[in-house]
Amino acid sequence: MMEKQTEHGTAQAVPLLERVLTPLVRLCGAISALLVLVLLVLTACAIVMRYFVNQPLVWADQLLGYLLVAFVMLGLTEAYRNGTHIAIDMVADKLKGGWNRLRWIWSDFCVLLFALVVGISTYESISFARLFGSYSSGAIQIQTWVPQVPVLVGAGLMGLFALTRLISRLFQRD
Amino acid sequence: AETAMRCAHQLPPQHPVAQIIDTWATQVETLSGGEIDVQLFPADSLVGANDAILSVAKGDIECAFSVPFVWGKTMPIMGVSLEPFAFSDINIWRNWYGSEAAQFLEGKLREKGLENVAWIFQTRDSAFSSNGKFLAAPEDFKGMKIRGLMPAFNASLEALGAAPVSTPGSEVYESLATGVIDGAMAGVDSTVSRKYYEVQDHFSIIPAISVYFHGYTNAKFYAGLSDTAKEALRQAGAEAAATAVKVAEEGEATYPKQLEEKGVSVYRLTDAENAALQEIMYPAFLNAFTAPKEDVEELHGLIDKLRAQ
Amino acid sequence: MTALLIFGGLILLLLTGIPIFAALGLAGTAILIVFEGGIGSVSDPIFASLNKSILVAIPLFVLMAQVMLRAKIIDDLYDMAHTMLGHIRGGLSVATVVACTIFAAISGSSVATALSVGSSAIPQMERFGYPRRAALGIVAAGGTLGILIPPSGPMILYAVVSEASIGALFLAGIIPGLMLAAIFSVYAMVSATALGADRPAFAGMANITRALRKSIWALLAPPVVLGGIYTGVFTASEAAAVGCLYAIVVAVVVYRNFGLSDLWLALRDTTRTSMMVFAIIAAAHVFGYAITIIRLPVGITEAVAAAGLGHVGFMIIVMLMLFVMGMFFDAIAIILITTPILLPTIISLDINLVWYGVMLMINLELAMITPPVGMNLFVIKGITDSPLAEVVKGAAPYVVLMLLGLVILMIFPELATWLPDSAGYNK
Ligand code: NA
Ligand code: NA
Repeated sequence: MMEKQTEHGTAQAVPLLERVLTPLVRLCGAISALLVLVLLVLTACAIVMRYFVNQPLVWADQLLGYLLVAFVMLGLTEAYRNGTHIAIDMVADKLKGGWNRLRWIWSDFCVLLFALVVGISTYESISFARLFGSYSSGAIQIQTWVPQVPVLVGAGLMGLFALTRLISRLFQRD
Repeated sequence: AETAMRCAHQLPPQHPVAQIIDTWATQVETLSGGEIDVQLFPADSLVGANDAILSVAKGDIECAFSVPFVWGKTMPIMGVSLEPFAFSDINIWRNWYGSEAAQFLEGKLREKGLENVAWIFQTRDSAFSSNGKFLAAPEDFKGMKIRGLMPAFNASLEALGAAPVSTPGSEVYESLATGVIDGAMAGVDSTVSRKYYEVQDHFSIIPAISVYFHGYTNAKFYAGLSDTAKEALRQAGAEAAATAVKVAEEGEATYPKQLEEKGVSVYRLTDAENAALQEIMYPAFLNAFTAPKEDVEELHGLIDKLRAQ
Repeated sequence: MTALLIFGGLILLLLTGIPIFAALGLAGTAILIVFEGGIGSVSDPIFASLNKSILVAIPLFVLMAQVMLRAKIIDDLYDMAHTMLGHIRGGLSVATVVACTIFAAISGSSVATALSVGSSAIPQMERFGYPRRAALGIVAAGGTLGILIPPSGPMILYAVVSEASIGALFLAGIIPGLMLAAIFSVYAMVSATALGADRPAFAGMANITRALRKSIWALLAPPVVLGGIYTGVFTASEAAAVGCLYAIVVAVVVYRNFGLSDLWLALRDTTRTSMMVFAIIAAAHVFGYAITIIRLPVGITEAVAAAGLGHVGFMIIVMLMLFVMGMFFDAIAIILITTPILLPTIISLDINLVWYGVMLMINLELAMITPPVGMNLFVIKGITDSPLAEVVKGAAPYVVLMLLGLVILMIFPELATWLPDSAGYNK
């Protein structure tokens, strides 16, 4: 939706950063799409194993939760890149010219800020969980920081993407 | 100065243990002369049961109450009371507060940056629910899809020939109602409060595991409290522990009756029947129990001292 | 004062047009920084809110809808509905409400209901000349039935906190749910007249039979899924996977127009559609966590509980409070925060817990279609890319209708309590 706007960017570094970043964002988006299939197959397997084989997959429920986190965090930036995010547009869509440009700069800045907050907080959370030696308590007993890694990856990806777009917007000439 | 002590737990507010926690909170406030302001967050309304430990350790909140299940592999020794049929002597729990056994676990918690302040015994009795028949003899469990608990306990269910299923808490009722799972196991009080009697008709009362809630605070927070406040926590903790055992004993007598009044069949297993289950479940549990052997042995020794006093 | 600042600040931030997830997340972060002195725990509610297996139903129901859309199974279904109901004013709106009702009986979530029915129904209604705003509104509102008609995730949560009977609550939701569906349908028919939607003549039995035969595979989906749930083969949340597989099999075997590349496109669209919903769910938890830890809603609710009002006065104030809270919080947070605090008063005033539960559910339905934070509004905006104002305006009449439903239920509690009472649930 808005990705084309960056083509007139004058900052030299930005196109390069974008060239590296965009495939990465798309790759994560593709992994996320495939994870839907994994969620589907795993849920179906759980039904079959429980009902027809009478050998329930005790770990399936917990794994589904972890996979869902990965699905969301890996796919978010690709969805955002495609303009599929939701904003309250009643006021903002009426803005014109410079104000409109300011709105998008502000919007990217806020996303960057939130991604940064989530990234830092997740990093701290992961470090603490490792230090504490915290394990999940369900059927899958792994260290609790492991399933949090996708949150870190997702926040990093989102932050870098927002930063790239923010820079290109700042240097953009109409 | 008034210090806020945010305290999370998983129980709905009318649960007997939640009410003991309410009283405990009021006592802490009174005894500390208002130094501590206890703010309770029941029913997982702030942090979930599985996240409470880290939240307190990190210092996001100051205090939480947890059951041994959530300690899992993080500190498996906390789950020692889940050994099938091993700690059903009520004297253990009457003598628990301040005992060497309690101090042993408190020491382990301190290593994790947590200061334990309360032990609230919940029950020795579990209700195993099913439809059409009681779960009493080992062969009754064959092929039964039962909601699982924690890996070591699941192993003991599997040893009986049952098939443990992992069902999210919010789906248990419907799964029982429709027959996605055949049975569930819970404290008798939870069986009543979660309305399992609406969808299951046979309940076996089995002293399979002993469940307690332990209240703990962030160690740094605790260290910053005045001596008056620490003494208030100690005294409130002791009172809560004593009340809890009394309430639990009353509950063991009344909950099965409440279940019967709902029109379902209730059966308390005989000692011989319990022994037959124990013979299969206990070794399977120990085999899958991940706590360090020497810790388990030491704690067993300390707990044995509390029996028959 | 604090409350005004926080909610005012959130509204301002939202109005600047930044993504809603960023607004909710940053508002929550700001509260934590001001009151807790750091951002330490922001990521925990994010992880905790997404790490839930039952949420898997959301992407899977979306995938089901995507498959049925791409294979044009939905087209046949709506052709059938149009053949049957086209001669009735607002007939397709009624069909959409019926679809929502059936879907509500399958899924326990309003978001899943709105997502699945919405992605198929809105383009179809437009195809047959319905004004977009009407289509947006009916799906946003019809989708909320997901939590009132059993099974219902939020009802179970309320039952666990209040210790009301889950079975009784499920039964109690049925009549009010159908009543709301009926109210929505009547309104849709009346307003279609006002909007002057054109209507063809009655298509004749031969055409109806032909259309029915063509759409039989889509029509079979609900019985297959419902049958599986009620015979204990799978749970309500697993129904999404079964529905998905059913759609894929029908698309590949019967329609023969669905290949690997279609599957890929369906997966890609599923990912995009689900993302914004999940992003908002997670960020709403950050905001909810921040506001809970500073005990803001607790303070408000405690004040209401302590006001010493009578039965009627208490219910009116509580309903107002829930309505306002519903503008900002999600359903789960409202249940968990308000129920434990109000419960003692509810019990002491001898208010029927099951009836209260149904009233609460209708409030939570309202919460989903009231701005600024309304999940179903966001869902509909997301799948149609309409301006949010358009969605809000479309849903506005239904807010009034639901309030009307609340008043009716307030005057006639029997609408909720009769069914569970006759089924033998006492209290
Ligand atoms: Na439903
Ligand atoms: Na709302």
